[in-house]
Amino acid sequence: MDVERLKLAATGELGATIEIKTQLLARLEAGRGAYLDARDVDEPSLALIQTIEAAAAAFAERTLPFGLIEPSDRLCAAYETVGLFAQLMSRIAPDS
Amino acid sequence: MESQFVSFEIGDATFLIPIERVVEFRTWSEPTAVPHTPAYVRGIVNIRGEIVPIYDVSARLGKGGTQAGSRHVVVIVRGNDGRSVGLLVDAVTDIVTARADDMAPMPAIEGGDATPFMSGVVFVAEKILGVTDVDRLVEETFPVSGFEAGADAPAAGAAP
Amino acid sequence: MADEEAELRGIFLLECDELVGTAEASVETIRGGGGAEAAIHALFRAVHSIKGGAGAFGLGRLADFAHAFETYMDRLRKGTAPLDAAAVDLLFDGVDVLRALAAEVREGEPAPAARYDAALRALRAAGGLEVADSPAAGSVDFDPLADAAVPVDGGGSEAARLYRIRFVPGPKMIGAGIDPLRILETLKELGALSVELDASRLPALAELDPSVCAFAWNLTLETAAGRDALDEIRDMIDDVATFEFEAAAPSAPDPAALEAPGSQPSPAAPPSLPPATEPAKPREKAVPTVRVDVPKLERLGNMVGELIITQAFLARQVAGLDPDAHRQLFRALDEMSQHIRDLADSATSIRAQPLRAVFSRFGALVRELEKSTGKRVRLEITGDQVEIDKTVVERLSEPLTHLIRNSIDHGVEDAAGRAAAGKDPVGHLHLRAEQRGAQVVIELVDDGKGIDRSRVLAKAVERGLVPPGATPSDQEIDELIFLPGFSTAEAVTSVSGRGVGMDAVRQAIGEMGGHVGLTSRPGLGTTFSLHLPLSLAILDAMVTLVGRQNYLIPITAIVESLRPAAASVVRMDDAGAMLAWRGALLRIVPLGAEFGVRDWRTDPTQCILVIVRPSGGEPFALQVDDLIGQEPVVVKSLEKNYRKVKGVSGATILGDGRPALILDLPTLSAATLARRRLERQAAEG
Repeated sequence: MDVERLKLAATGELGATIEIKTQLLARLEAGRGAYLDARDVDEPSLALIQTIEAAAAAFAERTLPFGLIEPSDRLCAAYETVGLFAQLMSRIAPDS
Repeated sequence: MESQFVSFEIGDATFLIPIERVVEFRTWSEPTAVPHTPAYVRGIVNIRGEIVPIYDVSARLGKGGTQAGSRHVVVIVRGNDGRSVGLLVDAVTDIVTARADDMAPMPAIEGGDATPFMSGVVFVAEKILGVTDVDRLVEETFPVSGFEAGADAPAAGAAP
Repeated sequence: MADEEAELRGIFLLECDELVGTAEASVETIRGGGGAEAAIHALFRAVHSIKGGAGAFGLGRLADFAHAFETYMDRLRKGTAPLDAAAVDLLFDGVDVLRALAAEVREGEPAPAARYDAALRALRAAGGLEVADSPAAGSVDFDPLADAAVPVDGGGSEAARLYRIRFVPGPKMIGAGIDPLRILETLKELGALSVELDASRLPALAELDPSVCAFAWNLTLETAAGRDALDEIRDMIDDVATFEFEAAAPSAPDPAALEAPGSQPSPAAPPSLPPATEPAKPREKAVPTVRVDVPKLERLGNMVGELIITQAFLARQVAGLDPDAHRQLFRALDEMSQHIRDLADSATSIRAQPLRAVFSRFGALVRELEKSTGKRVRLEITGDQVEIDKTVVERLSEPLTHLIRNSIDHGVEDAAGRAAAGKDPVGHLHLRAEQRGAQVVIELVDDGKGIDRSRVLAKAVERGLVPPGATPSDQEIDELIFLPGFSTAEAVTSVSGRGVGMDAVRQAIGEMGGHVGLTSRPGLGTTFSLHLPLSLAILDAMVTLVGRQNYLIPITAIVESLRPAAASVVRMDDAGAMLAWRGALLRIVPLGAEFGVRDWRTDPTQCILVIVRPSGGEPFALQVDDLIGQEPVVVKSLEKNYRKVKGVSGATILGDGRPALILDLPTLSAATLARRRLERQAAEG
């Protein structure tokens, strides 16, 4: 499987989020999967969550592997708060 | 009062099951193995969305395990407690009708390993056939001394 | 007619239990001192509702008692009776007798007469009722005017109520420095928030502007905070988002009545006031309900299960197709799987009941134990709104009762002991519940002295459960208390020494398809955790292959999976192999050996190692031949037709129609540990 790990920054502030979106788009266009290492996410934001969700839909549509690795407690809590906890569960990826 | 039974064969012996306990028949296919079970539990199968264990009747009666193949039959039976179990037998042979005075309770001493699993006998065409006690067969914990010893898979008995 | 009457009465009795629970929770709050005013109102309403229903169904003793209780409550509300420690005791007594009276009607088990008489007399005296003013059974005064004369709303009272909120962030919200997430978090702090997300406007990744919130929400908030708090939030974000809310009445029969002239204009007016003028309709609720036979529900559940299996089958069939050529088909399948999931959730929720139904009983239990042990304990309950299958709720009562007894008897120290340890003289017991994936986890946390491991071990050696000289790990010692017949009580106390041990708890939970774990820290306390499956559990699982069999691992327990390099596998002389992983050594558990599978790959470097972390346990590396893929599966019971199998939590039916086993990681790791130890000891001795 052609999958690359991308590490999510500790903060979900806009700059970092736009950066990760750009990286994800590049992977998508290259036809390669992506796993987001989410263990360090300390200050999740809505911007980050919706970017992850849009990415999940995009990778799924191209049937490319996509997932979150070890989402931090804060990120899990934020997912739950916005009403996406079930989706989070289905995004957790095995490492490879 | 008449009763109907399904007769089946294990080796050269013939036994009966009360027909009202029989749910359906299936041909044998290798079930999904389950760990830590006695040798007579051959595994589990999917019967209309339910997980049903398959018991090897020959092994259960202490007559050794069956080399099951495509000609073998699984009789799905239901116990009084509502539990379903599949019984692996060599063949299903007939449907037997017996009048009340053809039936008798299990003789007190019959000898043989099958006795604990028989609820009575039926006289059919000058033969005496044992009626299996489905509830006993289905009851997973019913002990048969010496039979299950050592039959457990590796980790059995290793609880902390 | 008689049947209908009996049915209505049954419904009332069920409701009565709930009301008693509410009443009890209120008294707890009053005792705690926080928000006493709101709690008094809540208690008053609960008692009032019981009185109304009891009167309507001719339940004389219950109505009588509730009447005396209510009269006393009225004085407390108005401040004409003092709210002191004696009052709290009286309230607790009152709640206990109410419960006993309800049980008397339901089960025919007479409530203790002496207790009833004493409590009734005390309430009458405290309520200013003449003791001679004892109405004959069933003749409680239901004069609507009399009730109307009691203004039930104390004015600005802070009863919790429901708000429906529509929250649509505008495009400038994030840019303005307000993260919609923070707004949701703020709402969550106000009360119980249920969230319904509308993600339909989420654009494709390429078009997404992360700084423009594409989500919108429909929220339901149950809060005592009142309209002001919501107004405040709206004012804060008014120019960057739409934030609309309206009050919803959780149990008022007629929402219009709330706005009727003469009622309190305050938004916090308690909506759940029972219709005092219509005592014949005590069961009215805003949400209409129907009764359904359990077998029908089971059939529905089974059919949903079948649907999920069929869907998995379809997914396997189309997996080989070119996604670009069959874009529509894939999209439709995706959509269908989402709908099936929603359907499954709905089917599950029908059978669900909040844990409150059982948790609410434990306040009385703890008070009783306080009296019999002389210890002081404060019970905190959270998460009792978590829902679980009704049949499970009922069967939880006994094991939880035992655990609470155990914690108070063996865990929490007496006041002197706590003082010596520098702790609050009042022990703290926290009973909490939450849903995690397809499980509900209930934890009982005490801040007592923890498990005395040296004593547990000594006892186990003495009883021949552990060979002398063995050196089990802390975790293994803790496990010993679950062995049949094990009890550390020096003397058989009236509290825990009742012949049922922790083994009975483990067995009871096991029969429901769950398991019990524990962690203990010396001097700091012990936590018991019960993991229970949801009724129609849908699990995201990793399908693995060992030999020719598939085994499933719950995704939530998987940390990562890898094909190990030869250098990272450390072979131990007798205890199998270990994996060097992130600076630690993990046990490699070859599933093939553990389960006695035929033809499994023995060389770890030719296999996949799945690093798993069982809930509440140490991570280990599960060795399987290969990974097949990830799939949502329906958990089926093995116990229904067979029995519980060690290392297996249940089975499922894969897309090819064959059953496969779902691994139970906690027991798998415990069994392995024990087996290795036995093997080692056998080799040594």
